[in-house]
Parts: sequence; structure tokens; C-alpha cells
Amino acid sequence: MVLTALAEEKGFKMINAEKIRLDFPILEEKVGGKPLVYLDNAATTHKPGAVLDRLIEFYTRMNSNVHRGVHSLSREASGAYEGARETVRSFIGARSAKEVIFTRGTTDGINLIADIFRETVINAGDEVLVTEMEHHSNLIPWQAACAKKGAVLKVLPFDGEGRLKTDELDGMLTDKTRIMALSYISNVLGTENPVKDIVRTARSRGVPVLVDGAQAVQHIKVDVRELDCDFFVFSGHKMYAPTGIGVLYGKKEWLDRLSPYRYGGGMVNSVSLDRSEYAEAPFKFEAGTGSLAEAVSLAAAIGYMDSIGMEGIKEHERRLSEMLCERLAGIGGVTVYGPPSGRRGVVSFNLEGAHPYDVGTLLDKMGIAVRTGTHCAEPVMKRLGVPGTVRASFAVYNTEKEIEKLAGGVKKIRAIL
Amino acid sequence: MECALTIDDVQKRIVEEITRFDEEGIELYEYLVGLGRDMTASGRGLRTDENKISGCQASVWISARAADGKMRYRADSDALITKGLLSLLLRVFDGRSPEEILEAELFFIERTGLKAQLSPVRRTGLITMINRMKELAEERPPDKTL
Repeated sequence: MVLTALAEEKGFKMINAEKIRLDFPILEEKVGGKPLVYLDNAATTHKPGAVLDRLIEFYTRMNSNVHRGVHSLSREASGAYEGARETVRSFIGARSAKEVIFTRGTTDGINLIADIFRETVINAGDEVLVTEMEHHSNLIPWQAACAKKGAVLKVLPFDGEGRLKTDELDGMLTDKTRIMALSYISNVLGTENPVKDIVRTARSRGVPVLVDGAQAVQHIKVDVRELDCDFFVFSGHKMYAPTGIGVLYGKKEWLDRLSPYRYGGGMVNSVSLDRSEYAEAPFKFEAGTGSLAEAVSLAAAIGYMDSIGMEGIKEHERRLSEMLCERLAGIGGVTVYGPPSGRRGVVSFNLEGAHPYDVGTLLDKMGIAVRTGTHCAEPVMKRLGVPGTVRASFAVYNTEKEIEKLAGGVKKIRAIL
Repeated sequence: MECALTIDDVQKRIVEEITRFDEEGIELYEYLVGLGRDMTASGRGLRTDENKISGCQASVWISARAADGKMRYRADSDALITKGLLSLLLRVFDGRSPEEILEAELFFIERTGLKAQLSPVRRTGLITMINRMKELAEERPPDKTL
């Protein structure tokens, strides 16, 4: 009651996770006879009925290719697809829907920019700046681009608390830096990076910034205009939408300037046998048929999240994360990685003397799904000096009861191992 | 200890020992942890890049030498459950002739439900471990201590 009043005072609805769970059919499933405790949401979230219904609706009521036919179905599908683009625009606060490119996911979006930059922007001796806490998806494409062009990959490190050493940023930006790529929120540490400040610094030195928002859009309100970043990428499947759909936001001035990186149908204004005139953004970056039903369903996922409210989601997940950290500290012999405060979405930890894989396997036998391993961030593991971690990651449907179950499981495992 | 028995006899014993555990429970895993803990220290020189096998989330090292027509294996892992699995594999393979090892059908995994209970990732790891042990039986690395 008190909490509800406080929430209302702050202008958002408190979340009733038990009620929200009813929206997610898969949460009724049992694993090994036990109710599913799903705490691997940073890998992928489950999908609410509203999203699943929209997916089916697309195929049962309007399936056809977009921007191609004059027939009714095509018009309806095109309307839904472009409507989804507008929903995404509004969700991330972009100026124009022309700045929203549909991709297959975060990795696809980063590769798109890395490929184009490699071909047209990065030259031998140039520099690309990333951070030490990147997911492999925001590291390897830049590594490969630098290797191919004889450019230098520079890495901004993080400190003992899992925060980027932003005081070193200015010194790492040079007149040779062609782009900086960093994650908004670390998929291992849960650190929310001061992206707005970093972008300001980088842009003041003439360096464009790509922000990997794969672990951000489902947890906090994102406003690309406020961040002032040049590019912003994210995936649908980590924010309650289907797999195979993602978004690349790019500032109009960049998208106008950059050449396409893949060629085919749907990205041209006119074609003759010896030359083609490309369409303007976003279409010039969307060769071939996209993930239409998935894009339309992504809009449904955004609608679902909006109906709950991002502030409420953020507050709910903050409470779960703090509660888990408290419970783990109470068990003893547990190391939690990442910043002591301001953690978003994930809690990574290890049990003293136990391999994370043993912990994850035993938790699985208790019906608790967590991720174990390197989380596609091997440099982070190297820095922490561990072979991997156990990672619990939250979604809007997780409950305090589930956190208690996880903590209880870890306590039991401590006795076994 | 079980050298008077065939590989299949040993497997049947393992099946008997393991089928007493509830398939849905964690007892089997507690048992594997125990086996892993009881495994004798691997000794020096095993944890090298050459002996490391890929395909497992935990690190696994396996080496072997052929002596007097028998394969002698050493194995280790940094995870206890994986070590427990290795302990079972050693019980089946260690001290056997390369021919026996290469011909062996490992039915104990199927019959105990170990396969069903292990995650696909780990199953990949388990299969990789078995394949590596069979590869070594084929190679018959000479006993350097002789």
C-alpha cells in the first residue's frame, strides 16, 4: 500500500507481476515437473499474448509483401509495417521514421554499420574505440574491420566496480578516431554507462558514437535525441518481441551520407542494366524482404510495454535486483560483480570455490533457468579473472517469490558444492 | 578394480547404481559432484593446451598413453559435475585395450537417463569427451615413461 502510494506520487503504476505473468502463456509451463523460474531474460525474454496474437494476425489477415503490390492485402501489410516503424520512432524518440532501419537484430545492425564504415570511412592507421565491457557482437565486427583496413582498435577499460574509466576517454579519442562503439548497459555487469556524457565528449572531438542498446530498451526509457548518439541498435527478442527483428537508428545526416551495404529488391528508385539509383533511407539499407510479421509484432511489444509503463518496469526490476543482491550477500561466500548501485537488469555472481557451470546445472535441476558461462563477453571474464559467472536477469514478469527461490537454491548448492 | 569385467559389465553396474536416483531430482547431480570430488588429483602436466578439449563450457583436459596393450587415461575438469562424468568415463575406458574402447557402445548414458537429464550443451561436451577418448585409443600415444 505504502509502495503503491509512493509510486503514484512519482507518477507511475506499481507493477503487479503476478497479474502480468498471466499475459505470458509459456510461464504456465513446468520444467521437470516444477514451475518455470525464468531468470535468463538478458538472453531472450518470453512473449506476451498480445505479441503472439499480432504475429498470427499478420499471417492470417494481411500476409503479403510490402511496398510492392497495389492490391489491398499489400496495402494493409505495408501500412502495418510502416506503422511499426513509426511506433519504433516514437519509442526511441527519433526525429523521423526515416531514421529507423529494420534489421535482424543488434548483431545485424552493428555489422551493417561496421561493414559500411570499413568500406567507406575507416582507413589504414585510423582508430576505432570500443570498451572493455562489450558483448562480442559489439567487439568482433570492429576487430574484423580494423584488421581488414590496418586500423587500430582501442579499448576504454572499466574499473574494479565495473564502471567505465571515463576519465581516460578524452585521452583515447584522437583525430584518427573514426567511430566509438559502446553498450548502454553491460550484459554481464548490469552497469548503466553514462552514455549521454560519453557521446558529448566524443562528438565534441568529431567522433560519431554507436550505442548498443540490446540490454537497455527493455529496462529503461531511451531517447536517442537526448543521448545525441549517431547510431543506436537493439533487438526485438530481448524486449518481448519475436526473434529475427531488430532496429538500427541512425541520424539522418549519416544515413544520407552512407552507401548501402547490401543490394537487391526494395532499395532502389530506378534500375537499368548498367546502373541503379538507390532509394533514400531507410529503404536503401533494407534490401530484400524484411521480417514483416516480426516487425509488426515488435510494435505490439512496444505497445505492451507502454501499457505497463517504462518507469514502473524500471522500478520493479530495480527492486528485484537489489533484493537478489541482498539475499546473496546474506548467504556468504558469494561474489557479486558489477557496480554496487545503479545496476540494471542483470546480477552476475559466483559461489566461492564453485564453477559457475556446476551452479547453473544444479539450479536447472531445481527448475531455475539462469545463464552460466562467459555471456559472449570473454574479455570481461578475463578482466574479472573468472572462467565465467552465473547470471540472473530480470523481466517485468519476474516476482519476489522467484528471487527467494533462486537465493534458496544458491544456498542449497553452497552446501552441496 | 573392475578389470575382470568387460566394458559392458561395468556399464551395467553403473546403470544399476544410477537408476536409483529420481530422474527429476538433483540427487544424480549430487552423486556426480561427489564422484568429481573423490577423483584423485590429476597430477602435473595434464592441464595443458594440448590436452584441453573444446566444446564444453567447463574446461576439460584428457590425456592418454598406451602401455602393455592397455590405454591409461588421465582426465580433469575445473567443474565438479563434469569431473564426475569424466570419472564414470574413466571407469569404463581406463585400462582397456584400444580395440575394446573403439568397439564399445556407451549405452549407460542412454539407459540411466543421464542423457535426458544433461543439457544439450553439456551433452555436446560429454560426446566430445567420449570422442576424444576414442581418438586417443586410435592414436595409441606411446608411453613416454618407458
